[in-house]
Amino acid sequence: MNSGGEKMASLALRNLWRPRTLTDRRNDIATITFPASPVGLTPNEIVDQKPETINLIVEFGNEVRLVRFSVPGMSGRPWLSPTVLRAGRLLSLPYDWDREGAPPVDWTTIQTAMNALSQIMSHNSSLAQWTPTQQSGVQLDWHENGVDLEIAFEPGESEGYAVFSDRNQPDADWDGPLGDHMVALHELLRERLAS
Amino acid sequence: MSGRNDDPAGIPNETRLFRRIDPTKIVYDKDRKERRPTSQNFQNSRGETTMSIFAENVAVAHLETPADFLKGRWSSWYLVAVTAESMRKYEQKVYLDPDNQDPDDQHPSHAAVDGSKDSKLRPKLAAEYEWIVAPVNRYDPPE
Repeated sequence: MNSGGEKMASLALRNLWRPRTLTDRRNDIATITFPASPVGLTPNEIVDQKPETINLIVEFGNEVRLVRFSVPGMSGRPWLSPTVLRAGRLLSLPYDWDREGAPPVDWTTIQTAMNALSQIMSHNSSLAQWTPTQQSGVQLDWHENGVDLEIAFEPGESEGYAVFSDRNQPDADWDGPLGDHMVALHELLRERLAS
Repeated sequence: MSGRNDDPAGIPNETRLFRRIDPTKIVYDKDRKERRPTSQNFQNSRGETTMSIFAENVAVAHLETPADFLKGRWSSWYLVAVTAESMRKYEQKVYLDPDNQDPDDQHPSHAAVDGSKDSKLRPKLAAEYEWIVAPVNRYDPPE
């Protein structure tokens, strides 16, 4: 009897009715669940995910280059245009800009950084300051309101590495891959690193 | 690691160590109300375990001045100082290293800060800076 009961239960599960749409009208229950975004945003906070492009003209020695950035939605993001300008300046650094044979800044690290910023910045966030890294990647810095935050994006790396310290709370320091700290970063850039 | 030993006798803790600062690696600090070197300035040289600096006690003995470290290809760079003690407290060895220099860039006071400098440590080293030769726009916020 026991084995037969288990078989029945198994069959019942296999034949369990599953809704084909997000709303189960027949049983008057909503089965809608919002997919979690990487930064824990609610759908209302995601302004636009459709990629748009920003074209930037960069003078590189005797050359003039057109650099095209793909960014996920520009509306409602006042930080975006000045950020692209700051980032673009790094592309004008020539070979051996560090006097130790460094190649020009890797533009893919700028794109990776822009993608990350689009996930963690708020409309009132302070702008990042962009500088090159030793490996010709980019580093973003914020130093204000007792916070020291830097995020480095290196060539070949799929995500940045963040280092946070609080001058008033040394025990609160943390560091690690960006993906491990997206919620904390979004909160920082909305509340303490904001105007 | 280079295998060299820390040298607190040759470079006592209170000695200031001069470090060249790349003009592309400077940011504005709203709390300090001035521009500051980024942590990227406090990296080891490529493929090495050491960061080049100039020890003030030896520089003074050889009549070297800060301007001497910013000649030629370094003329657009700046100079900060950190103390030997501030490096040693982060497990760094500090010793004279006059033989490890480019032929066209020789200084008797050349020394090394030897040890791992990972992403977490570099900001702490950078925070110890004191400007010696600062950018003219030191107090100007970014555009």
